[in-house]
Amino acid sequence: MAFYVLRRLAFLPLTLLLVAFATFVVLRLTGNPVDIFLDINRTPEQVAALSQRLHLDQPLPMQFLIFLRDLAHGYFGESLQFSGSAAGVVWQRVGATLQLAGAGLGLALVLGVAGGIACAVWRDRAADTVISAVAVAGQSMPSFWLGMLLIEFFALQLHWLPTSGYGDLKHLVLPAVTLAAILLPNFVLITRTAIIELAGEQFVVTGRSKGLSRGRVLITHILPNAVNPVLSFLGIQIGTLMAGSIITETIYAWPGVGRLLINSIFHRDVPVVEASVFFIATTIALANLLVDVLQMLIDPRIRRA
Amino acid sequence: MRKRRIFGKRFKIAVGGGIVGLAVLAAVLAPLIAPWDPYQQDLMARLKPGFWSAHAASGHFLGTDNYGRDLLSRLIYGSRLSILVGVSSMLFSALIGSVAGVIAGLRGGAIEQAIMRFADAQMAFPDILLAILMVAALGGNALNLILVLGISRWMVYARVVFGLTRSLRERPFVEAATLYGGGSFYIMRQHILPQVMPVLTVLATLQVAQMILQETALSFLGLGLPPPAATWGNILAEGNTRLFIAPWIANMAGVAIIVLVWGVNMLGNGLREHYDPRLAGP
Amino acid sequence: MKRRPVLALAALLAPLLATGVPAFAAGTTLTVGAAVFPDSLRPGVSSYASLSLLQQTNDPLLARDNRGDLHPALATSWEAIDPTTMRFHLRQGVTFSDGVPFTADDVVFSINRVMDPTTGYAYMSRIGQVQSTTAVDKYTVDIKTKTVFPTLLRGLSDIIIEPKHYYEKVGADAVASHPVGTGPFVFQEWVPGDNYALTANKNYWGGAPHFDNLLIRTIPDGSTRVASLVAGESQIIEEVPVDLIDQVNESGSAKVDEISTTVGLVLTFDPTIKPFDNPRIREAFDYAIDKPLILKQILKGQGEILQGQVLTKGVLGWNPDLKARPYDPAKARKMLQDAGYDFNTPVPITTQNGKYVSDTDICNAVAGMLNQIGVKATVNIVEGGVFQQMSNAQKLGVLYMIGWYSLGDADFASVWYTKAGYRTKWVDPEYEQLFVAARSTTSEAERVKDYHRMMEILDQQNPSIFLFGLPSLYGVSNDITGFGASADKLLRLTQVRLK
Repeated sequence: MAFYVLRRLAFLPLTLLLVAFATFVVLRLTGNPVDIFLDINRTPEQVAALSQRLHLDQPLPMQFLIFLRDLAHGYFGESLQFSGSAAGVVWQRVGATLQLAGAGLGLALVLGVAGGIACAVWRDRAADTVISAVAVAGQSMPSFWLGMLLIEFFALQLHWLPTSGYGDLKHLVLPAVTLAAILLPNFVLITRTAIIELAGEQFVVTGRSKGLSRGRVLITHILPNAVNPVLSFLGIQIGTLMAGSIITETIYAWPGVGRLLINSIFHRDVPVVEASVFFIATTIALANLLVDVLQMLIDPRIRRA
Repeated sequence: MRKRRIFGKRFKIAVGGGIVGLAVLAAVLAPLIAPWDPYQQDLMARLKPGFWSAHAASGHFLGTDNYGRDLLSRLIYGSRLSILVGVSSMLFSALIGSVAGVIAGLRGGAIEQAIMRFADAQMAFPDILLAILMVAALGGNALNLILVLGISRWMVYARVVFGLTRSLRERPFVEAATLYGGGSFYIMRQHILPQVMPVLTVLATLQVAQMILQETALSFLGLGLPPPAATWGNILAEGNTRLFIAPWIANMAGVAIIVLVWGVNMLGNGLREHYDPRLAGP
Repeated sequence: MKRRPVLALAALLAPLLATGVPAFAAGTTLTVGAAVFPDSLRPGVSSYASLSLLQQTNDPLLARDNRGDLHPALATSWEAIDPTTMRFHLRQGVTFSDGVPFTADDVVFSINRVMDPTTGYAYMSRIGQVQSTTAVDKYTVDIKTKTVFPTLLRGLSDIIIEPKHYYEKVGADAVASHPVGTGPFVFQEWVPGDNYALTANKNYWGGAPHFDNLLIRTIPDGSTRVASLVAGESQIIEEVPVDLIDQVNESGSAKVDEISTTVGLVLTFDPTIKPFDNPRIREAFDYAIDKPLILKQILKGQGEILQGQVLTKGVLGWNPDLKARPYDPAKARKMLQDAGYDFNTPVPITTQNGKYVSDTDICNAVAGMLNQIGVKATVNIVEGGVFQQMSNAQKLGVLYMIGWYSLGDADFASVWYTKAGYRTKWVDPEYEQLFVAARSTTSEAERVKDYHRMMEILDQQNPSIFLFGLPSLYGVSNDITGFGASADKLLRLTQVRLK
């Protein structure tokens, strides 16, 4: 297993290299940042100074090599719009994003798994039909619209929660719910399917025939085995989670990496875009690895494979 | 004994297919059924509610939008662009994804490693993020949007098709075909495609739903089709900024999106159960 | 990161545990919902919006008031000692928030910093003709310009004075992350993309603010901003969307305060693209746009129709004899037909979204009106960065929408129609000549005469369709007094009292 983890870790830089390359190419396609950052009345001296600072005076392949060299030192360059290094600017926002993503994921996981269990236990009854139908409808709802509806109802009509911004727990509620709503339906459906599939398996049927109650079988036989499909699904969903946080942060003016990224793209702040993309990609890759390792720890069958 | 399922696979295919069929019909017949020109402005009648209100502007069943354009007509025409973008980008990504998946599965070795590691790398890159970067770089028009959305999802197909192809490669009929000198393309067409088609159909159907939602998200971020294009995403995004004074605009577009995407999902789930009864849902 | 997991973890947890609520000491807090938030506090590098934040901690030599009139700030008086030298007498007894006294050295340092090309100061052009700045004594400064430079004073009102000793001690990066100044507020905390927290400067030379803490929060979405005002989370919000004015006024807890700005919103042609080299075709477009209808329906009567010129009413150089063309679609269509206009020519109108009041709404309405006479107009919304890039490359397309600030003096807006301004490809020799003439004299009557003629040329030649003078709309809670909407969008808060 240690070997597997090492192998995966060895692939991580490769993945990140590809990500870095793609970002670099796309951003160079978008044009010269000097044009954006200097006023039309710029002097040639100003252009030369900024070009040199960004290494734009070098040929493209050389620029990429410089970029890689800096990357190896964890340096993405100086932000063009903020003061300080791009990595530092992104790092300032990481806390807010992890807070939101953590709360959203936690909420989605707990409610989703609970909902899925409820659906499976009362399979094909009213509860199942209602929860599943709501889940599928939830999958179909544009999250920014949901966000606006939540603001209107809970902040404007009821005055229970603040409309937007970052601060105490109250500020976290609506963004977390909005983000959770993106993932929750999938967790319900995947948990439901996993439990129903397991219920047909031999060892469960045997357990039942030994006279164990349904509840007991569920807790001792089914749930431990259902953890794995849910986990593997979780791994896939980390990307969706990060994508969802970009939208959610924009709706609620949440000062996280996602909104920073969108802003930096609009301002063509290349170093910050690269650093944020890198952070997001690394988070996803590491989270996937973590999920895989967890799966192996839980399920010996995967370890052998 | 279990009760008979309320939502059986037939029900799902019928309802989902019905909704999708209606939307496609509306899209095709838009010029015939839309009561107004969707781009015709009437600033004197802007932001007027529809039939439910006493202040309704006459002739506008669902009310008017910010420029006094007829909301119903815009929604009907909007189904054209939304479905066009959704289906075309799905086809595009299914094409790249399946070809890449089959090649990786049949050839194996370095090619497999290259393709699948690239797919893995892209999995660590949220699709919307890639789309944002590319639209920002290339600009938003229908063709770019389709390409961008297509490229952002190809690996979903590649992974599934790759898995299936690899398992098929070992099967006697494929081995035999290889032995008798059948080319990759021949084997792909004759043996692999028919086998992966059911899975691909299900995947593709569900992806159309994703693509339609993705278009709305890009519109929200101001990176969708440029106005005045009547897409559901644009109508929703424009309506969102006036949700507090003219809620019907965003809400009607939102409902249209939910219903269509829900229908597509239903159809996809129904098809999945049809091909793989073990996965029967509610 | 991987090598030092413990450190990384600790660093990771630190921001997680931070609550994000600025750690104000007790006292009254004024919260402002800002529409546009600057990207950094680095003076001159970030957008114009940063000036609104920077002027809370730092003063210029001369300050504008809400209407745009100039008043003494760090300079108490000034006089021209020869046509190209202006002498400034500085305010005495002023200290920076770190306790160090303000002197002439700080002024010389600040202006030299602006003029240094390696600084990349975006507003350098405001005082672009400055040649040298010298300290005569501890409280007197001479600014020498390369030529006669009548807009020097107005230009200086956009340049904040920074502490020389502090730059020398900590460097530019540290200054940007923790500014020190002489202004009415003292820096407390800056959370990029979220908020700017300040405390009142009890020793402010202009009188201490009447509340203890100031929190400026960014709320980019217009309806959310209004929601936060109505819900009582903020007491002042910038840029109330026009359609939400009634909602604010009817909420019972807040009112909208409006002031006209000097922003002239115009649609500029690229005359190098055929057939828009023909002034008759440009004029025909002007007739096709029902400006009174847009003003009434989209701007809800806020703002003004530009009278055939880029300047808004009352600005120095505004020509009272010019009138906006009436709406006459039949005439417009006829003129186009007579000029042999090809109605299949695509006419994309390039604009930004949310940069000016109702910008995309106005743009869409204009496109709709052009469609009415058969012109194939569409709207091309681009983000700020792209717009700027297209603008700098002079590739904004056939028609684009932009707003020009004149800041009260025709020079600032009329420059954009000269070759030196690089913003329009339309060129007129007489206009060029007049512009230089107006810049090279200190006689106000002379300048006004030149500007009147320049505006006349603009009206005849139609390099742009002149649309609206835009309003600036603030939402103000009934819980405060003493706040006024400002024409230049800078927050002036020293007179505000919380009830």
